Amino acid sequence: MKASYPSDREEPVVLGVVFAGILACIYFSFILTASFAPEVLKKIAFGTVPFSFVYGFFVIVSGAVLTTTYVLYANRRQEDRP
Amino acid sequence: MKVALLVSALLLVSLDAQASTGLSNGVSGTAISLFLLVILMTLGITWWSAQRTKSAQDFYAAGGKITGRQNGLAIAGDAMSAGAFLGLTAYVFNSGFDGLVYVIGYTTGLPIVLFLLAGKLRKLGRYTFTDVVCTRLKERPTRIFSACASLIIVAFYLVAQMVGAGQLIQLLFGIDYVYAISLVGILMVLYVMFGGMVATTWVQIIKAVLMLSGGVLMCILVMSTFGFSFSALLDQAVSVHPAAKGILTPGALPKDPVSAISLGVAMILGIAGLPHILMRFFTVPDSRTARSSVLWATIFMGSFYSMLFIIGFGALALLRTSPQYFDGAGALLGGSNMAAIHLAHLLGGDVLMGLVSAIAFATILAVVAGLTISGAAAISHDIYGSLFKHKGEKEAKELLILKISTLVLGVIAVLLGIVFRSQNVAYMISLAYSIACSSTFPVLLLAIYWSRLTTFGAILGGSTGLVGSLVLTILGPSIWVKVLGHAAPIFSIDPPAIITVPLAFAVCIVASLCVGAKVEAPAKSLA
Repeated sequence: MKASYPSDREEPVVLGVVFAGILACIYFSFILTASFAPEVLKKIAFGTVPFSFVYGFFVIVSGAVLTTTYVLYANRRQEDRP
Repeated sequence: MKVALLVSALLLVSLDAQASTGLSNGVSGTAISLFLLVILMTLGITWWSAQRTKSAQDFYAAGGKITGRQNGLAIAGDAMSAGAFLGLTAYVFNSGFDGLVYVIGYTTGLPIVLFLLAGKLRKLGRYTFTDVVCTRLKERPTRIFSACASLIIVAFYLVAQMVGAGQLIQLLFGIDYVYAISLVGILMVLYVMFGGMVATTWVQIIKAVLMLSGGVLMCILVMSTFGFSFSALLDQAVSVHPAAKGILTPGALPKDPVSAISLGVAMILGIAGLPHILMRFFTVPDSRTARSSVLWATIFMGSFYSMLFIIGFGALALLRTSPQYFDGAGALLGGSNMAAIHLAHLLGGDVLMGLVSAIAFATILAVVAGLTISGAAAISHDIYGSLFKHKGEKEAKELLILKISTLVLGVIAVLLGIVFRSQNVAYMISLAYSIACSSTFPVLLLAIYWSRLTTFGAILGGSTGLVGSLVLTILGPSIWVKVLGHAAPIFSIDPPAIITVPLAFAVCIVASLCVGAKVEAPAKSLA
C-alpha cells in the first residue's frame, strides 16, 4: 500500500496491514466455522469444555500478541530514526 | 456544591418514591451507601478536574498530557462500558455462548485501530478525527458530514448506556424507569459541562481499575463455588438452561450465516469509526504514546473480556437456581440487563452488590460523558468552530456552544433511552458499531491511505454508508420488529454492515475516480 504522508516513514504501514489481515483471518475463521461447521466447535477440548471456548479465547489472545509485537516494533523503529 | 446537592436530590427522590409508592426491592442501605460513596468520589474528580480545565485544548483533549498507560486505561474504560459488563453478562445469562460471540468480537476492534490508524491519527489531528480527514479534503463539506455521522453513532451508543444506567438506578432505588433515566441524564450533563475531557479521562481510569478489580473478585468467587473447575461451572450451566449443551456453542450464527458474517464485520471494524474512541488518541502527547496506550488498552480489555467467560456463565449457572432474583412471571428482577448485579449480590451480599452497582454506574456515567463530549465537539468544534466562528472570536464562545450542545444531547439521550428501554444494551452497541464502520471508517481509512480520494467521493461514499446503515438498521429486526412492533423485518440482515461497508468503500472510490475528478481537482497531497 502506498504511503500518503511524510510521517509514514515512521509508521510500519506494511506490518500494520499484514497484522490487520492476520487478525481478520483468525477472527473470521472463528465466525465462519461457527456458521458453517458448528459441529467442529462442539468437540471437547478438555474436561467437558468444548473447542468453542478454546477457539474464542485464542482469538482474544491473538489480538493481544499481535498488538504487543506491533507496538514494540513500531516504537523501537521510531526511536532508532534520527 | 452543585454536585452534593444533586446526589442529595437523588437520594431524597429515591427514598420519597419508595415511601410514596410502597415500592421496595429489598436493596439494603449498605448497598445504596456504597453506591453513593463511589458516585460522590467520581463527582469529586469532576470538580477537581474543572479547576484544571481552562482552554479548549484542555476541554477536548485533556491538554494532550495523558500518559500511555493512563490513556490505555481510559480507552479500556470506554470499551468496558455498560454494554460490555451488564449487557454481555445478560446475553450469556440468556443465551450462553451466543453472548460470548460479542465478547470475542469486541476484542478484535482495537488492534485494527492500532494497525491501521492510531499513529497517523495522533500525528495529523488536533481534537477530533475530522481534523485528520480535513488535512486532505475540503473542510466545510467534510466537517458537516463527519459531524452528522458522529452524532448518529454517538446517539446509538449513548442510548445503550442510558438504558443500562436507567435499569440499574431503577433496580437499586426502586424508582420509576423514567425518573431513573432522567437522573442519569442530569448527572451525565454535569460531568461533561463542568469537567470536560480531563474529568472524563480520570473517571475512566479509576473506574477501569475498579471494574478490573471487581471482575477479578467476581471470577474468584464464581470459580470457588465450583472448586475452581471451569468444567464443573459449564456442567452446572448446562443442567439449568433449557437449551442444555446448546449453550456451549454459538447457536444463532448457523441459523443466519449472512448476519453472522455481517456482525463480524461490524465488530472488527466498528471501533475504528467510533468518534469517542478516536478522540482518545488526541489526549496523548505523541504517536509513540498513542501506540503504547492501545497496547495497554488491549491488555486491560482482553483481561476484562476473558473474565466475562466466567462471570457470564457464572450468572447463568448460579442465578437460574436462585428464585429470589425472579419475579412471578419468571423474569429477572429489574430486567435481564441486571444479571451481573444479581450475581454480585448472590456472591457477596449487599456489600459486593453496592460496589459492583457503583462501578457499573460510574462506568456508564464516564462512558456517556465521553460520548457526549465527542458528540458535542462535533457540533461546537466541527460545525460551529470551523464554519461559523469568525477570526478573532474568543474560544469561550465555542466552549459555550459545546456546553449547550451537551445539554441538548442529554435531553435527546434520555428520550431515546425511554423508547429503547426493552433492548439488550450489548446488542444496541453492535448497531452503533455497524453504522460507524459504514460511514466514518471508510472515509478515514481512504483519506489516510489513498491519495486519489476526493472530497466529493468521500462525502458521497460516507453518506451512502451512513444513510444506508441507518435505514437498513431501522428496517431490520432490531427496530422495525422489536421497537416499532411489526411482525417481520423489511430487511433481514442484522446488522447490515456486510452490505453497507463494501458499498461505502465502493462509492468513495468510484465517485473519486469518475465523478469527483470532473468537478474538482484531486485532494491536495501532503506527500
